[in-house]
Amino acid sequence: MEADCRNLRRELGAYLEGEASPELLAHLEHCRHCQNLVEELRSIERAAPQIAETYEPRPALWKQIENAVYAEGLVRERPFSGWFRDLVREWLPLPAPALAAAYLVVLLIAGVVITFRTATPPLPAQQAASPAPPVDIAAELTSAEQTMLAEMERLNPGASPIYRNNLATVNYYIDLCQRTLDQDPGNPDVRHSLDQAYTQKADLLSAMLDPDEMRSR
Amino acid sequence: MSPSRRAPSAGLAEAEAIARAQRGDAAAFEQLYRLHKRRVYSLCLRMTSNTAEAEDLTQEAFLQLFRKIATFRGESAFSTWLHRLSVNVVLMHFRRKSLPVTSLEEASEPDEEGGPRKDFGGPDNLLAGSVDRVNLERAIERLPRGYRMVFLLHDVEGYEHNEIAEMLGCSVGNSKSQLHKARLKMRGLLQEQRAARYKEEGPANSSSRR
Repeated sequence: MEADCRNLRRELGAYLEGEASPELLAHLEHCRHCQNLVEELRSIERAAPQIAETYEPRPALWKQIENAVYAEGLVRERPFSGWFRDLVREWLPLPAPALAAAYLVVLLIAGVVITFRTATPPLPAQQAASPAPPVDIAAELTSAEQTMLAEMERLNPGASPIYRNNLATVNYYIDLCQRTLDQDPGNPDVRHSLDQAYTQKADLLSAMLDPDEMRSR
Repeated sequence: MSPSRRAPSAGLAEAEAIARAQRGDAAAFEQLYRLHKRRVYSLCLRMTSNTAEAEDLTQEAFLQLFRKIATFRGESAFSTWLHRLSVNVVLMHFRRKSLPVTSLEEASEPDEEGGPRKDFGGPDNLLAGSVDRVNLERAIERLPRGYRMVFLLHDVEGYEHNEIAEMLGCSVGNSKSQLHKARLKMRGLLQEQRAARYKEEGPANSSSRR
């Protein structure tokens, strides 16, 4: 390494910040060693931002933070009771399809129960209708939820607003996750949140089907 | 700080989550945590090199966020606000423990070549191709704290020198010279790691291992 290199390399920091003396610029024109050094320092600078989000905290950390958040009274109220949240957490390891399936099963049961409880004998003309028209699943699910809520309101008006609020919260959360996922489909956190939201919804609907909940106390 | 390096995803969803969190909505708090936990935790872990401390500091950063979120008015990007708050939490932690956050005279100042001079008897000195995540993480762990702090704040987190000078309580010139020394030290450490792999595995694998 030439004496020039040793002297001028002290200025390389400034050069990388876009400030350099004419001497350094002239030196860099012909010095392969210094050019290599600049390139290596730049490769470090370029690579560094890629590691900003490398590490994942333990899942238990959120539980700690959440407990502190409630202890400090930073949120309005717990949306669900303690046993319900614990139940949801038990379900968390299930993969998304299983959760979605659980949700569908709950709604299916809900549909059967409500139909059984509220159905009037079908008209002959309805029985004859065939083949069945195509079904909009999302609309059917929403309609089943609304039917369940209406039924809840009829049978247990005291508990109904709580369930209505909780369902609205869960639906908001599902919608939020879904929209985030539409923008960032590969985000595992959002997928996890969506699974969790569906779990909560399945559990909430399941709790609504409890015979004790469906009647006034 | 330069604009957030996070992908422009979830902008609207985040804005809605912030608005809900400001009204005390628990689900929105969790959504904000999930969106930012990696960035905050990674910063805390690299600065402390200790998982227990990093978790405590991450918790403190998010609790401070939730305590103050009602005052967030959107003058700066939410992520900028949160990350700055996280850096302050870590720096306060060091100050409480009387640990220096800058280091004017590290024990082993890198020379202009970027590290202790050794003849590794290995490959040429060009690092191209071996500056990957794994090697970078390993080298950052070995950086003296004073260098690590400036390197993380500038090159990883994207802060400008004037912001770093304000956070660390040093001059802008000091921040610049610390950064240059940190990069030279990083280069030296990366070269050492590369030479060690070369010795262990031979030329075929030493530049491409992840």
